[in-house]
Parts: sequence; structure tokens; C-alpha cells
Amino acid sequence: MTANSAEPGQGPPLGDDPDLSGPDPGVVFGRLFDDHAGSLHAYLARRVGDQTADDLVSETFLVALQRRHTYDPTRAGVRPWLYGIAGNLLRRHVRQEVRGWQARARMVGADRVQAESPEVRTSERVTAQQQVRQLAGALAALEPGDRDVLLLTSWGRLSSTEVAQALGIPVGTVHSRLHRVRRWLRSHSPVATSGMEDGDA
Amino acid sequence: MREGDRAGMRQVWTEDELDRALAGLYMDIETDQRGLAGVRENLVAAAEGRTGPRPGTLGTGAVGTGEGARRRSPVRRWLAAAAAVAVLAAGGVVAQTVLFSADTATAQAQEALTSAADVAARAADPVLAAGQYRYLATHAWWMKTTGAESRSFSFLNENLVETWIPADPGGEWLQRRRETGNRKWVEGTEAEARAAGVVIEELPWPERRAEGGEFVQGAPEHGNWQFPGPEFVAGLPTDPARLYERLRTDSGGGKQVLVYAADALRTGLMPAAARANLLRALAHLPGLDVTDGAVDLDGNKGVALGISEGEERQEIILDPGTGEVIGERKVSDSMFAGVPKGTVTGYSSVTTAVVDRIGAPPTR
Repeated sequence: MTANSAEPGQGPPLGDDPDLSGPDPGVVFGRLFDDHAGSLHAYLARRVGDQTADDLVSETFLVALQRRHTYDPTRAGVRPWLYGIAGNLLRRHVRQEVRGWQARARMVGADRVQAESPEVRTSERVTAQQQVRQLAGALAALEPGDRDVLLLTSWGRLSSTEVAQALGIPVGTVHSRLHRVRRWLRSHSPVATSGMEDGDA
Repeated sequence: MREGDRAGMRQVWTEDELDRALAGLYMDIETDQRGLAGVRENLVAAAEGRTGPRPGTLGTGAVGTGEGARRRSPVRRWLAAAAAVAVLAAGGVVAQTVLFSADTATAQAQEALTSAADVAARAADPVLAAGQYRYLATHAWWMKTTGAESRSFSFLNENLVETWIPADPGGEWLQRRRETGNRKWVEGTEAEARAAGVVIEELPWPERRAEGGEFVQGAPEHGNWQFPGPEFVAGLPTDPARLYERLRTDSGGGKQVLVYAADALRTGLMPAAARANLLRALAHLPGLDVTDGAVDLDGNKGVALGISEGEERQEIILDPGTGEVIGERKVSDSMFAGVPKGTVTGYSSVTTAVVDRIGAPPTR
């Protein structure tokens, strides 16, 4: 990963609620990009892959540029605003994402072979990898809206309030969805059903 | 692992284990951000009113071998992004996840729901004598995707989930699940899959027993849409418009409204009056339409009401004769990766009966 290959920032960060409608959009959006493109790309790439993430980041910032006059810093921070735009664009790739999780879950088969040798069978690393892949299988089964809330929180590091702003839903809904989806994952990830790995542990 | 081990296996992760797995999955996926430099240049050019990519970026990544050659050139990416933005701007859909043409269900859907609700309201709830059980059988055809190295195979895999609910819902419930071995192939055929070395087998599921039907730990004490006990049902608004608002708030809206309503109806815990109200509430769901007038779920016939979202259509199937929801269905709403539009990607049907003993099959 070469996160620093995007051009380094050319000034202080813009902060959480910048004025985007200023006279010099080239400078403002350059900084906005430096502040947020790396983390947004990392989040998107983990959901739909590098190449689609490149496209989505590009589209997200172009949409943001076009809609900069409608951005109201008193209603939402700029980060949830960007994640919200990206999330809408991401909807076109739901199936691609689900297939990615399913493929990842199937990779457990490879671990099973490795686990035959005594030195790795006891290794905690193998167990951790299996858990990770069981989780991938369970993520594939989530409703897209539930997956958004979970991953914006866990991977995007957005607060509940920011998730609510990004998705345009009440913060109470974020809390209840997160509670429900985590409970479901805790009981279903160990027996994720998407693939042949199910009985393996 | 062996079946015996399975029964003793811990089936629930702690909160910590879930967080660790989430973090592990994040670390597990390597990403490559080299494409971002070109994206930034294009953005700044667009912001400064210069159209298209700057000349300096034309060569980057467009020609090359190895790792870089895999990537799309910045120019093509720019064109794709610009086209997408044009489409989005023209439709004005960016800020809204789903676009609805109306602010309620269609007239046809409202009519179907209202007449089903009228029938449901008049229906008598089954009366259980002490010691009797309400028996609920769900035949669910859930998509299962499996694969060999080079290609994947998908089929609808039939699961039979049987639940016995005691006359006093606070007593012990029993749930059995098994995979029947019946399959309907969506992508590839069974012969092709076996030839590719894919192992297809039915997985064993342990029998579950739980007081009050709490098969999954941590269910809310006062119930929810997935477990609508008497206290939860008593707290629901009776006015359909307000009930819809409650459902929308709890579920997050859109397709999820239909999913939550079906969750509640499927449990068999909702009394007739509450079922009727719930159907009337769905008449307020924007975008809900009659999507199939004659669905046959393994012999159970009904009318499908559906809503499209995220390349998929979610449907509930109503029996107009009884007002009961007899099943659910998911239908692909776009062509994707070899699965044609209109393909049924999952469905389930529910039947109920009253039986005399826990674990006893219904007599017909």
C-alpha cells in the first residue's frame, strides 16, 4: 500500500465544516482531497476493490465539487457528507461487493489444508484467519443498509451521529441497526453459510 | 470437523471477537492507492474550470506492464467518472438513496393490501389448548454460492425450518432446521460443479430449544419486529399511518420496511387485528406495487407485492383468500454476472398448524 503517493497536503487541513463555496475551488478541493481521499479510498477499496474504489473516489469528489453550493456545514460535517455521496455511488456495486465477500469466505478451504500440519494447527493465526473469513461470509448475507452502518462505524471510524448524517437516517436508527446487526453477526459468523467452509472450525 | 464436535462448538462470538474479526478483515485486504494522484489532478483541473485531464497525466498508467498495466488509465477513468456525474446531475439523485415516483404504494397495491387486511381482521386466531403447540414450517430456498478455483456455482438450497411454539409463548420453544438436499441451479449445473471438484453436501444443524423463543441471545426484553411478543404488539400504534411511521423509523425505510413487516408476520405471534393493521400500514410504503398477480410457491398460490432497491426486488406473497402472508421472494432486478434480470434469487413459504406435542409433526 502506498498511501503517501497522493500528493501531500499543500496547507493546513480544512477542518470538519469548511466553506466549500469560496472563490478558489481548485485550492479548497485540493485540500479536501488531501484530507479525506486516502481514508475514503481505503474504506471503499476494502468493500469493492482498488479499481472500483479509484472510480468511486473520483466520482465522489466530482459530485462534491458540483454540489458544493448545497453543502451546509451546519447540518453535516464534511466527512459524513463525502461518505454519504460515496455510499450512494457504492450502491451500484452491491452485487460485486457481495460476491467479493463470498469469494473471501471460500478461501477458508485453503486454510483447512494448511491446518493439517501439526505446527500450524495449533497456531492462533490460522484460527484468526478463519474467523476473518467466516465473518466475510456473514457480511455477504447482510442487507446493504445494515452493512453500511456496520462498516462506516467499524472501518470508516464514523461516529453514530456522522453515520446518521452520511446515510440520512435518524441517529436512533443507527443505534438500533448497529445493535441488531452486531448481535446477528456474533451468532451467525461462526456458522456462516456462504460456501463449503461451514462445518470447519 | 465431525458432527459430534459441532454440537459442542461455541456458536456465539463475544463483542471482542467480533471487533477482532472486523479489524482482522480490514487488515487482511491489501489496497493500492497509486491511482489517487491522477484522480487528484483531474479534480483540481475540474475545480479550476479546466475540462478533461491535464496533458501531463495522459501517459500515466496508460501504457505499461506488470502491476501497473492492470489498472485503467486515468483518462479512461476520468471519462467514466465524468459520464457518471453527468447522469447523476441530470437525474438529481445523488442525495437520495432510492427514488420513488409516489409518496404511497400504488393504487393496485393499496387495493390488494386493504382487501387482504379486511379478510385478516375477520380471521379467528387459532385457539391452543393447554399443552398444545403452534407449528410453523418455513420452506426456504436460500441462495448458496460455492466455487472451484476458476468459476463459481450458485443454487437455491432448500432449508426446512420447523418451530414449535407453546400455548404460553413464555414456555419452551423448539426449532429444527435441516437442508433437504433439494436444489435449483442458478449458475452452472450440478454435473458441472461436481466435475469441477466442488463438494456439495447438506450441513447438519443442531436442534435448538429456548424459553420464550429466544434462540439468539440478547433479544430485547420487550420484543421487536423480529420477535413481536404480546408486550411489543400492545405498544404498536393502531392507526395505519402512524404504524407505518413507526415501521419506517425502526427499519430505516424503503425495502427494509417490507422486510421488517414480513419478519413480524412470519413469526406467527401477531394476532389477527395486528396483522390487519400491519397490512394497512404497508399501503403507505412509497414504491410498493403489485409485482406478480399469480405466484406459486411450491403449490401455495398468492399475489406478490414488491419494492425495488439495490438491484433487487423484495416481495411478500399474500393469500387474498385468508389475508395471510404465505411467503417472501427476492428477484434480481438487473443483469449481473451471468444472473439475468428476473431471476428468483431466494424465496420462502410458511405454513402453520396446531399440534399436540412439542416436536410432533402436523396431521393433515
